[in-house]
Amino acid sequence: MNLRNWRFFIYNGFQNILRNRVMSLASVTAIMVALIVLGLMLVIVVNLDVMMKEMESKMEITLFLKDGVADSERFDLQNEISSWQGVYDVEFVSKHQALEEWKRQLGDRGSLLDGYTGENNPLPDSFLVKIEKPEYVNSIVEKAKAIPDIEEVNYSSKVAEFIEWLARTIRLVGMGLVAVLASVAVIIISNTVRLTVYSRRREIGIMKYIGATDWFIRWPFIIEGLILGVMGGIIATGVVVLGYKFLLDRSSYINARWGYLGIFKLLPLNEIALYILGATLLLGACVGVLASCLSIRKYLRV
Amino acid sequence: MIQFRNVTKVYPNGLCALSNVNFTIKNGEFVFVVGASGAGKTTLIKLLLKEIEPTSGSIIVDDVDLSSLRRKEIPYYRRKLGVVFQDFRLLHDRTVYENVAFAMEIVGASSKDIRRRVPAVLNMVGLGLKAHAYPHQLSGGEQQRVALARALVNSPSILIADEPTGNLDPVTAMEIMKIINLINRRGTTVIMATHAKSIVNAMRKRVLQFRKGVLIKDEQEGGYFDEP
Repeated sequence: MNLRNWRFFIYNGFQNILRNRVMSLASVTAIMVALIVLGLMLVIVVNLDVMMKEMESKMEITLFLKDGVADSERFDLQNEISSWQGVYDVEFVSKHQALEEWKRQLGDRGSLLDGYTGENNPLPDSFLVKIEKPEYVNSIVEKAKAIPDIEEVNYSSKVAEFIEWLARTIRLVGMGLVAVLASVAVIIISNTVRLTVYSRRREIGIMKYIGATDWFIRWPFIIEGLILGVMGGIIATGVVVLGYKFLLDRSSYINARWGYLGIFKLLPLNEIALYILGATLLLGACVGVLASCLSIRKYLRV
Repeated sequence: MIQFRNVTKVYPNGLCALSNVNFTIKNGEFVFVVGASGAGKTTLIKLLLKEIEPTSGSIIVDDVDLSSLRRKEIPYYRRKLGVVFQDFRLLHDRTVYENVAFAMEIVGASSKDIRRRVPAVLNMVGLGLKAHAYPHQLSGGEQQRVALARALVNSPSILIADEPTGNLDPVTAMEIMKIINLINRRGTTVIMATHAKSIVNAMRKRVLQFRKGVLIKDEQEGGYFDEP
């Protein structure tokens, strides 16, 4: 196949699309919807993944001490915990400090806690243990639980687990949804291509008599499907990226109000846009080519 | 050389279109295939184009048994044949030039060859001045010339014509026959199916006459007369 032939195939592919405008539009819309869902899923999952990693890297365990642990015992305990594998810092937070911190968080309403100062402070003393890597968490938690002076072990795994579960669920549901929508797109595109095959049957007949090879006849239709899929992918990327940008522009406002939650942190656009573009174009192209191959097999007995 | 050996074609509906047909056509011959409607002319042409398979017997073209051709080889076999039909079968959204060039594009000819060859062939069929007209702007005779040019542009060794004059008035038909005769004199084997008695009788070429699928006459410089 020489370059001239490819020019012919591509020209014909575009011509097919323009001849069949309504069906082409329906096809692009169908594939676009499927790919928008894919894009949204990607945006959410990628962000959650990064969020999860960040949480894990900031892994902290709080060890609450029983009341009445003597200072000397406390120093020994702190030294012991510091020596454990995976621990890189142990900070003592006294019940007094804990109450002050709580007050600070409440801001204007901090005075509510005024009655709990001194002897009335219900909060326990605690160690804030910082951990190098998430995989050490479990062994450290186990060891800490075995120490009698430690009343309770608190670590953020529940939140991390929830986010992980959320990411997994969204990925699963999203993939299912993408699969269903992509199948619908395959059906619609293959119908479109079938219509083009039908409208060109005269020309196909003539090409056969002149001695065109099967692939020479097939390529324009495959390219037609490819173009429809890629167009859907480009539009879907545009929609998702613009939507994401809209969200990003408002996220600074949201962060300004609830930023201390530390959760609502989105990846910058440029880190995510190429990823979405690549994924949607790939799936779009695959769906388009698959759909044309299906209708060629069925309706183009060359 | 084209050989039909004991060729029989029975269609799935039970119709026997050709029955035990034997003949040999040498390179460079001009052969009319004649007979009334339903005699088997079209079936013979379809068999030659390998559009359909014989029920039994074999067809050999240039030492190749057509039944041995694999699907992938059929297009390359067809490039040895030039074909024209009664209904011209031109692409209406392309000019005369493009219709002819298309046949060369399909076989992967270079643009240089196409630019050189297409005008030459159009001149040969007398359409050099109408290269940029569209088929609907042409008369029937002119459209058949385009079809002829397209059939010839890849220099086939065999020209197959299925009722090429069927849609044309007698004067135009004779002009087309002159071109086909010219092509034959340049060495191309011509097989033409027709029921136009006046043409067959005027040309005095070899005639294969069929009746209900049976070859009833094979005559050099023959004629085609009313069947008794």
